[in-house]
Amino acid sequence: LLVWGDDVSAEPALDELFNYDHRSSKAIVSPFDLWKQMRRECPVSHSDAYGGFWFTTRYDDVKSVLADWQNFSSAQGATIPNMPFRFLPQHMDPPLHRSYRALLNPPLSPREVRRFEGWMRELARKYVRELDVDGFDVCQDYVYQYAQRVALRVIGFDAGDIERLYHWTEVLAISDRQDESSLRASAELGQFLSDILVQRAAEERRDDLISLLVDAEIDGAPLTAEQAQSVLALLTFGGLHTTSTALATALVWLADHPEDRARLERDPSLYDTAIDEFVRFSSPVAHIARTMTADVEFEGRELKEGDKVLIGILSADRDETEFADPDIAQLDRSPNRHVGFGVGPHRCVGAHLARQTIQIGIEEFLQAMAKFSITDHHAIRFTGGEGRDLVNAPMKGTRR
Amino acid sequence: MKQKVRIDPALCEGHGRCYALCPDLFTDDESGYGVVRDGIDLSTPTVLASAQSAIAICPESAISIVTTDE
Repeated sequence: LLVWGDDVSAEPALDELFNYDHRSSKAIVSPFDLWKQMRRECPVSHSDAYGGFWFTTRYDDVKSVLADWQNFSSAQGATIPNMPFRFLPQHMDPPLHRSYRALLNPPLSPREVRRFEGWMRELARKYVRELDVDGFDVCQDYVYQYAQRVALRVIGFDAGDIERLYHWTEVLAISDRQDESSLRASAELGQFLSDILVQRAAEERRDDLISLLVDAEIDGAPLTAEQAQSVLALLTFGGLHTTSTALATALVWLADHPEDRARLERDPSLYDTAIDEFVRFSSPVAHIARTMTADVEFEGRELKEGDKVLIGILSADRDETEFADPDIAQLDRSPNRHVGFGVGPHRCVGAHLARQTIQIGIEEFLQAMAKFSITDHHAIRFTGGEGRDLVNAPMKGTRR
Repeated sequence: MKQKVRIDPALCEGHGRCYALCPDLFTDDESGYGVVRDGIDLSTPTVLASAQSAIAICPESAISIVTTDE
């Protein structure tokens, strides 16, 4: 029986019920029903994990947090737990942030990116051609081979460095960044980036981002070695861990929905909306973090200065109040104001390159394959941290 | 009095949805930010409809139709 003083309020202790952990297998494997419930019942919840943080799941809230950089700062990091080193300009706020973007936006503008089309197509064709179509992993054997090499070449790394770079960034992306392997990966990656910047400073300039960094100035002062290294670290993470998931998600969707494949082939102008729809649907940077710079009341919760806030990007992009049938990829979805590339000052600098990488990756795959299908849906595998990377999807097919 | 399409430069972050989906009205500058093309006549219904769809797709809500004195 209840005694006097027992809590009989109808309110369940939702924070304790959810106690959200973006590294849990639930959040990585099948988060969508959980996020839906959280959006409805507890849109801003508190978790005890990793020293405590707030988690925000609704589209409107996510957008306003991303836009409000004064209260929700990036300067203390964008992951929970924090990365062992600082990425620039991700881990800074305006106005300094804007000076870095003035450096990085022009070489990644749509015009500049269009110049890459020829070699990008060659690269995609090479990896489609090499597929054993009787049984292949569309992620490991095609998408990652192609999309990561695109990023590596634009940044200016040698293709031979792909495995090391992927290993270091993968460890840091999915670990809690405290264990020995994270610290080792961090030290090795830092040394590698530092060495390559020194080496490239002594060489003739090339048409790539490393050359840009070697000579870069911010507000009239040259970038220091550490600043250049931190920018290069961010470009490396962004290039290796995001676009592949959006492209792989698109190909898995098209394998399961041949009618959508037929529509894309009948009407290629559908790519204009389809690419952003696949970005919305996959939102590879599923979470990103901010730190409070002031006490703010938000959705009825009292957020205090210094509190960490985890932003549910993929949850927002599956919010049924903004997107009709959010769990279906509608290739002609419009309007589609997704937050998959972020919103506000930190919007993805590589978004135009990503769109082109995804489109060419789909086009060249469809061009080569008469049919393709998933052979085992059980074996579709994601890894997670803040991001949600699609890393395995076994397929078979026939060539044209 | 004339109606014009405007992109607020303080809000535009260069998502590029306007010039990707409504290329008749918008183009990009050298950094990837949206720019309204010259000679846009909003009294043409199809142009107006295109402008309205651009307003609806901009992730930063940076696009608007403004009335000027020209």
